[in-house]
Amino acid sequence: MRQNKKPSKKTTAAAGSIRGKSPGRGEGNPRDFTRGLKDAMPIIFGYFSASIAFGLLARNSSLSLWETQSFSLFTFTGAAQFMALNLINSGVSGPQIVLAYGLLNLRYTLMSAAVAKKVDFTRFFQRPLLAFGVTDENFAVTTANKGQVSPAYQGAVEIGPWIGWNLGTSSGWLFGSILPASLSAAMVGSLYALFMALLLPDLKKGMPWILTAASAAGVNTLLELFSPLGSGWSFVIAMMSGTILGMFLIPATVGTASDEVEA
Amino acid sequence: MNNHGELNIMAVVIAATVVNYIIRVTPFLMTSWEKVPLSVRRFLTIMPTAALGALIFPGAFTSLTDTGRPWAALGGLGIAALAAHYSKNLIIPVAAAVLVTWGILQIP
Repeated sequence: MRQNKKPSKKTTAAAGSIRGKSPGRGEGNPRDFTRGLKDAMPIIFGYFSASIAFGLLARNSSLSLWETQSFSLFTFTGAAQFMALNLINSGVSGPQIVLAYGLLNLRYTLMSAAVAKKVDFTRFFQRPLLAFGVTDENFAVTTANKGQVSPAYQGAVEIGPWIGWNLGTSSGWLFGSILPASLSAAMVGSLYALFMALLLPDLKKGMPWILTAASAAGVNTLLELFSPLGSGWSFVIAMMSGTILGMFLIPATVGTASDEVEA
Repeated sequence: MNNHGELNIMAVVIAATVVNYIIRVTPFLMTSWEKVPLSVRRFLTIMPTAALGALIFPGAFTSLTDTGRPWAALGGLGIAALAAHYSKNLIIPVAAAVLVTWGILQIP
């Protein structure tokens, strides 16, 4: 116990797990990292498949391997990368592409906020580091955890999919043309299956939760199919309206401090 | 083939990287959640459920537009929900959905 008061790296990690309410917490816990990788396996698989399509499309849009890979290495955003290819092909200017990128990714502000609230940071540097790899998919996996998660867990949930996305990108650029179209389409669908599997436990909590998800789904579908808004705005509006409806329907104890301790 | 002519792709990548990182990092730099109003915390707790709804619809269907059978997504989503009901392991619903979707796309 006395050791834990020394401000060294080791003791901070130990302090992290002692402070913990759920088992296996703490910055340096390799089991948390392994558990994170295990939870992220479906994302890794899904990203690998989806990014094969990205690599192939990028090559067909005459991007070099390095240009294609840079998109995946540094921006690491599924939908926005596909959109960027579309815009590049239609001859849109650079600043407009970047603006569209920002709009489509605005949703990450809310997702990052939810993830940041979920992680028990033990040192400050973990914050800028773990902010890099938040995506729709790992946000959904992290927030599906009961209680808090450790930085090691969150690191695994981000780095595994990042590696999958990047390996898929280069594989797609190099060998993507070999795959049958129906198989790659079905593999891209794995991401939606993952979302459904993550949503199901929420749906089982009762009608208020079902209506929250259904209203967001309905609003997004209507806006994407029938409105001139881009999918970035459609998604943000749908997510906000579903959540606000949920705040009226879902009992007031959910999301308060007492609820979090219990969870 | 090459429509991007003068466009500097690497400049786009760098600018997009900066924009993306600012969007993602800002909430992470807020160190004290105790000062955040209760309603905002409640919002963030409920938000994932709404986000998942909007992530699935209509994306699951529009992602299959090229195959001419967007409704094949119903099979994949259905089996994923069923498998998730019986198993806590996320791999099983995902693998089942890929198989079912691929099977539907194979029907002549």
